[in-house]
This record gives sequence, C-alpha cells and structure tokens, in this order.
Amino acid sequence: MFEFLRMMWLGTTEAMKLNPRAFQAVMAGTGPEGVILAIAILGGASLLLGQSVILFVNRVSPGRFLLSLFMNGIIFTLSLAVWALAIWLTGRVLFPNEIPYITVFRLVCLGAAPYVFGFLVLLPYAGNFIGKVLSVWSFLVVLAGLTTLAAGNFWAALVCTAIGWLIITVMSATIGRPIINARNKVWKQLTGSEMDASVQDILTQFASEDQTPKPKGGA
Amino acid sequence: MILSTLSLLFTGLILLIIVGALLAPLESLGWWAGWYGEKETPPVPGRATAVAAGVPETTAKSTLVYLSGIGAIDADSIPQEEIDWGQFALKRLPGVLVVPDVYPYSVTNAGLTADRGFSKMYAWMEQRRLENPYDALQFVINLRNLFQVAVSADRRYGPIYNLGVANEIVKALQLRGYRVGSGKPVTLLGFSGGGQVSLGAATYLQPMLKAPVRIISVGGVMSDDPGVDHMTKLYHLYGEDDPVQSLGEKLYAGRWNWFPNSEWNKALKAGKIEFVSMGAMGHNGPRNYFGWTAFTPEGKSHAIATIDKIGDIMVQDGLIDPAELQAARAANDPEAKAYEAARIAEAEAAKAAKEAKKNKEAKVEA
Repeated sequence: MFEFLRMMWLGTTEAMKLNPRAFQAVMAGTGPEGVILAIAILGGASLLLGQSVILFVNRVSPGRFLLSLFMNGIIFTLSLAVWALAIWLTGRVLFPNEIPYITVFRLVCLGAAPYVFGFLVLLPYAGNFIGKVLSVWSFLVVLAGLTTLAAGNFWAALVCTAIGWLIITVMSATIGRPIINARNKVWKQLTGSEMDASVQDILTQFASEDQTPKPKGGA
Repeated sequence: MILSTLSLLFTGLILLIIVGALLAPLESLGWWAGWYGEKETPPVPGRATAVAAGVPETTAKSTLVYLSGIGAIDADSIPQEEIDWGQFALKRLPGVLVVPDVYPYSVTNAGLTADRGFSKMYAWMEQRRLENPYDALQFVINLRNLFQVAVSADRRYGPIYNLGVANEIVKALQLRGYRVGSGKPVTLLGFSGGGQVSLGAATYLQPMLKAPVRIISVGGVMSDDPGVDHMTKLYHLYGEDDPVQSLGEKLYAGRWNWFPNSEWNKALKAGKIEFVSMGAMGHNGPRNYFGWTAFTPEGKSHAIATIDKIGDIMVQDGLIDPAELQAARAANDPEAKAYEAARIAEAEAAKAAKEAKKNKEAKVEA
C-alpha cells in the first residue's frame, strides 16, 4: 500500500515536471498496476473537492458528498478515456503508427496529475485562477507525454491533442449528446442540481420554493 | 542549523496559512448544508427571519448597523479604539438607532470565543489583547477574519456567506426594535473588512427588509460585489495615507477601468458610489480613522472628523435632522476635547517612559 502511494506521488510530481522519463515509464508499463488510473481518479475527486461548493449548496449529506467525489473521479476518468480514443484515432489517421490505445490512455490519464491538487480550487479568491492554471498544466502534461510517445515530434503531438479535443467538443454537441445527458443525470441524482447551475441560481430556486429544501440523500 | 530551522518554521507557517484559507469557506458552507447539527434552518433569500416579539418599536428615524474591522473577536470584543470611537459616535449622531450587535465574520453571529473549534485559543488571544492591545498574536485573528472577507467577496461562496450575515443583521435589528416592513432606511457602517461584508449582505438585506439600504465604508476593502445593485448608495470614506482600502480596487478585476460593464463600474457611473476623501488618514496606527491624537487641518481629531463626516452624509440623505445634529455636536464637543487631551497626555507619557527606558538601557550598556 505504502509503495503504491509512493509511486502515485512520484508519478504525479514527475509528470508535473514534464519529465520524459516518467512518460517513458508509463509507455513501458513499468510500476505497480493501477497507479496511473488511481492518479486520474484522485485527480477527478480532488477537482470536485475544490469545486465542492455546488455539493454544499445542494445540502448533500457527508456520505453522499464522499460518494460524489468518488463518482466524479470515475466520470472524469471515463471522459479521459474518450479523449484518449479521439487522440488515438487522430494519430492513426494522420500519422499512421502502431501505438496501442492503452498507451495513449495511460498517458492521457497521467495528464490528470496536476488535478491531484484540484482541492486548491477551494481557496477563496485565488481558487478560480488556480483551477485555470491546473487545466493548462494538465494539457501541457498530455502534450509533453504525447511528444515523447511520438519520438519527439511536437507538432504531431499538438495536432493529435488539439484535433482530439475538437472531436470531443463536436461530439458533445451532436452524437455524444445521449452520453452527456446520462452523465448529467447521474450528477443531478447525486447533487440535486444541474451540472452548470451557479450558486446564485440554486439560491434563487430555493427562494421560489414554498418550503426550505431538505438535505439530499441519506448518510 | 539556524537557517534550516527558520526555513522549516517558514514552510510550516505558509502551510498553516494555506490550510486556514482552504478551511475558511467550510464554516459557512457546512452551516448551510446542516453538517454541524444546527438547530435553526438556514434562511431563505427574500424572507426575513422573525425574532420573538416583545421589543417595543424604535422611534428612531433611521438605523445604523456597525460592522467591525477584521480585529473583531465577537460583536462585543472589538479593538478598544473602535469601542471608544463608537461611544462618541452614539452621542454625536442623534435620533439614530445604532446596532453594534453583529459579528460580521460569522454566518451565525457566533464570535470566535463561542462554542466552536479553537475557541479556547481565541479566548487566550483575547485575554492577551486585553493586557496589550498591540499583542503580536492579534495577527492570527486578523488573518482568520481576512479569509472570511475573501469568502464574502468570492462569487462562489459569497451568496451563502452574505445571506447568513444579512439574516443575522435582520435579527439584530429586530431585537433593537426595528420593524421589518416599516420601510425605515438602514445604513450599514463597515470598517475595513466590514465594508466588503456590508456590500455582500446588501444583496439579501434590501429584499428582506423592504427598505432602502445605504452603506458607509470607512476604509473598506471591497470587491466588485453584486451587492452594489441592491443598495441605494455607497459612500466610501478613505484616507489618502491608507493603502489597505485601495487593495479592493487592485485585487478585484471588476473594479478595474478596463471593465466598464462590471456591476461596480456601472454603479460608479450611475452615481451610486461616492468616494469621500478623509485627508491624510491611515488604516492603522494613531493616524487612522479612529485616532484621537492626530488632527485634520481644521483642528478636529481623526476620530471626531470621521464621526462628523458620517453625520454630514446622514443629514445630506435626510437620515438625521440637521438642527439636532448641530445641537448634539455642540453638547459633545467639550467631552470630545477633554478626551482628546487625555489621549494626547497618555501618548506623551508613554513616549517619555519609552525614552527613559531606552536611556536607562544605554547607561547600563555603557
């Protein structure tokens, strides 16, 4: 267990330093199984902890709060899997290669390393800015990882990352809509509000209700 | 060895500050979510919490709610300079119901020594402050309250925090005889961080009270809070030598000239925000807004000049009768002069004692 946590910490910090050796280790598949996946899930959970105001405002119970963090980690990792698929497909079409999907997936998951510090988004005043920095940092980790994977071809990595992101964006608004709806439904079940609702929206909703809302969910 | 210890202490301090800042929003968020076993249900925007009747309705024409600076431990335990100043303000602002019962750095009006985590530590710090008003550990209280100001100003947490404080203001007003729905104007007087909390609370206060809400900020550090859309007028009293009050305009982008469509800049353009210079006043120390030993070019002590400026504003807005104000000032002037003289004598005695101690130490060393 201790060794697993040590590897997670090492993977997170080295990825954030954009260390090519960390990416090479991921490509080679060395280290304990599940470390990369755990970093991605922890990144998703930590990010939601940073953005947890929405859970508090919806008065979720402590038990459901923890469940929401874990579920967000899973949903976040699934979204990384889809992004990795888009990147992998782009690479296959534009730059024919034999790189297996799982390698791209592992590198994209490692890109979630900066989000392990997503809980810092909780900080008043500076939190939103930190969130933006972490997003850019995460993108840079993915880009650096793919550059290593593409044997130093930065432009190929940038094209795959950008087109992969574009595909996800277009799909989200078109054929991916049912998946997005399903994700939003899970979110609403957990928190009691829409995914993009602001705190002010929720307070206005409370004010328009006849009675003060009861806490959502059980312990 | 010494360097590494100092480095360790410095790192520890930075980590403690980050942890403190991370925990700052949880107090109000946990209260809202009902995680701390609250007996009372959190308020609903737009609805005033009714407080048990039995308090006769005030005959005062207007009401002034004082929200202290970040040195406050609870509504009663505020720095001595604010207490002294407040006592003179009561005498020089006739016909005004003054409500000093709100602790602006808690959503439940619970002071730091109330039943909460670290209350014993804060009680110990309070004791130290009573013995020495300039105790260095006051820094911890200031920092804790500063984080709450940041929570009030944060668009994510502010709505919850400010709703909680607004609800406590409404309760405190009722306990002093103010009737919700009477339409009587309410003025929030916020010093330093209290300025931001006043602005934040205004968002919810006006719909709850159904009355005009004004804000007088004394060296207030304020963000581009949406509260500017929910108040009648904001007067920002600032000292030319007060760099703290200007932090708000530096730290919050909505107050920058680059964003003319921000709520703040639109309110400024519409004349809802007025900047009032207090001359060469500072934020802290003897030359601050509550000082008795520093004087304006007109010969008024800073403390009296600040009170009188507030009085002038309230007369201008029809909240105080001008004749009553003049009479109250005339009646209070001798007491104010005597108090100023006493404070000057006290400061000179302290200075002389310090010099004497210094000379004695120099002789011992020689």
